[in-house]
Amino acid sequence: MRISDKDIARAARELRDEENRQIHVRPWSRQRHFQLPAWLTAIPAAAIIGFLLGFWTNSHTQGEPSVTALVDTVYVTAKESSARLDTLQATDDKVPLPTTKQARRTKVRRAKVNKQKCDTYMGQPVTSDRIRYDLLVNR
Amino acid sequence: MLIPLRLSAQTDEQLMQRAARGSDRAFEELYNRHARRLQGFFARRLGSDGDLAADFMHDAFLRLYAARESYREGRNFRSWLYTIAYNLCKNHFRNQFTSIDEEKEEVAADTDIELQMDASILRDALRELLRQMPQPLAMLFSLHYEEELTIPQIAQITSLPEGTVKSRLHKVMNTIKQQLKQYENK
Repeated sequence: MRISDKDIARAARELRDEENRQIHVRPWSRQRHFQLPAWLTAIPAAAIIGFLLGFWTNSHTQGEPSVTALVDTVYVTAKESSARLDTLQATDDKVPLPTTKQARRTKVRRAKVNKQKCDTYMGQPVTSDRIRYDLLVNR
Repeated sequence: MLIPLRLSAQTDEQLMQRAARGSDRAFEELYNRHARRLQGFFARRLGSDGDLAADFMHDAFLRLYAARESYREGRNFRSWLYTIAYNLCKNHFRNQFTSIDEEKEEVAADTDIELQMDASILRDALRELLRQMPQPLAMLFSLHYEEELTIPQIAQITSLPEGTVKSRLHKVMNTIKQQLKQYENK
């Protein structure tokens, strides 16, 4: 038998097919192992951990003071601002009177000081205590 | 009306273009087409370690996936894939301090292969000869006769002039024929 180039080429291809047939190839879905960005895994992980931690702390803090109660109160000195007085509150300030004509007309005039308050009647008898009771009656 | 072609009906280059635009399904189709053959190539070139060949194949496809966006239209897909595979093999042999000197391109003359010239024995003999052959020559033989790549494609993969590829392939074929001839008359 004489071996030609074609025989060798054919034998090479047969060899290839024979060996390839025995090979087990993993599917691409199992092959690939892409790395997700770190933040994409960190955010859901933090959320899950926080959620579980919340459950855990709730189950152990029954009857105990809240976390905020355990923290010392911090007093902050704030600058005092001038408080506005209520309009209904009494003040010593002088309130200006209305000066319009209308306001002046509504002003109640005082009665005359020298006006006689009661009338005198002459000729009536005087009681033993010398008080004229009849003259004390207002008209 | 434009009807989109099924992935299986598209060429490697069309699929690679789609993969470059972000289609994972197109890339998976390419993987399904070439993974077995590429793993076989690695298995033959690296030895009988199946796991190593699977790892190399995996590595080659991951590199291809990572570089998919740099694919340019008109580039031959198989040339690209086998360029990656060739470089992986080359690096592997370099790391193993395997000599790939041009001086050692002689095939051992005292190859003791019991041959009877039927097909299965010829394959066994060829396998054994390729195993003993220096890696650069075995690689050229494998790319041309096993993977059926053309001489210009091999020249592109190996960064050698086409004339050099042709002459080396001729030399390899003559050496193999010479080795097998010893048993022709037995």
